Amino acid sequence: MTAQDVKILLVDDEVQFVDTLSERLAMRGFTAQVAYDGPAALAKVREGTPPDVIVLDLRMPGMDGFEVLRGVKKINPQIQVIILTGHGGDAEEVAAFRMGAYSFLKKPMDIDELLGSIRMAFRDRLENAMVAASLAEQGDFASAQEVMAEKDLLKD
Amino acid sequence: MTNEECMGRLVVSATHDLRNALAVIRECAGLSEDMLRMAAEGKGDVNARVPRMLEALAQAQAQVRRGAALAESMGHLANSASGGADGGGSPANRCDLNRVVEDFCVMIARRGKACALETEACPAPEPVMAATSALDVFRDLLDVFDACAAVGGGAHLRLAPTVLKSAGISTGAVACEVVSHGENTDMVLAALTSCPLLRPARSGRDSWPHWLSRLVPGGQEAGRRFVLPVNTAE
Repeated sequence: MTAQDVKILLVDDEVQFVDTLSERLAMRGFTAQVAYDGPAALAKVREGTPPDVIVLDLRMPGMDGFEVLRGVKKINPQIQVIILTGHGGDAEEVAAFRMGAYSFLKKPMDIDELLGSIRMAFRDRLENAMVAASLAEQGDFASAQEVMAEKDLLKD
Repeated sequence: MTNEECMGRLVVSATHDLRNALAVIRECAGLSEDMLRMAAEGKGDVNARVPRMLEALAQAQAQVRRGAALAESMGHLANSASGGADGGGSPANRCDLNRVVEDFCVMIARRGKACALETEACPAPEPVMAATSALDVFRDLLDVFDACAAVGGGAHLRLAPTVLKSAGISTGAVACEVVSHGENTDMVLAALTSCPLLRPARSGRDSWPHWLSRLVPGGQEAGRRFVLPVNTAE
């Protein structure tokens, strides 16, 4: 896996933070799009080439991160979502994981810690896709679908 | 709302903002570090990167000022909760409304952004002293904020400490003016009009002048102004 393989979307209403972070990721060879609010993020997920990994702030004006997370998982459950927040308590962390978030980081975070999380999220996405493909080849389409399906435990 | 709830909510909003400020500082400093490291490794011309580095460092400085204001406000809040016992300044039953309003707007800004409710402090040229604790005023301002947020926000609130004089009584007060004319302004005005804090008949204070929530003469362009009485000024 190289940096160019991973398509990242950064979503945060703190413009200076997300613009500077995208610059630093670019200096490390990663391509990162940015979105400053929930609707713009979902538009980028629906249109063009969807991202592999989204780094998402929880607390944004208007559509908050939980709503974006739910929307992303409905459009494309395979997209990995890393929550990045200046706010979260334990309850929020649990809720985010139950809605399908991959990991949870608190601001201010170290860029290497974030990159580690992005690399693991992308690797796990690839592995899920390979497992699903293998199951489908064996004719077990139900299991293959389950591997790839949306998981929203909060719906139960 | 209890004092603890008030403190908790203001601190949550302020610390969220503080973390965001620290995140910007970290990224700006990190970007400068990355550029200098690349130059040291012979990857690119450092001179070409100087303007961007200067811009990043200026952004970091601005965030330091933002963080310092947040820390100052939280310190004031904590001191008012402790009754000034830690020697932080104001005694337990007296406060400068100018400072309280400024600190309130700083701390609630993040929460206000989430609710689409902008608060602006307009301090008076001279201190406006109130014979009550700052925490009491913080709590009342948060009640006003909640009343507006509960109907969907979408307004700009201007908070201006003032001294009202009537029948020989001077009273510290905070004028709350709804200055925007967005689509939800009427709902915010309705919420403020019915807010219990703004009615004259507060318990134990029947001798206060009977001001009611009212519009400033001059029509809509003058804004919509309500007055939150605090306590007798000296």
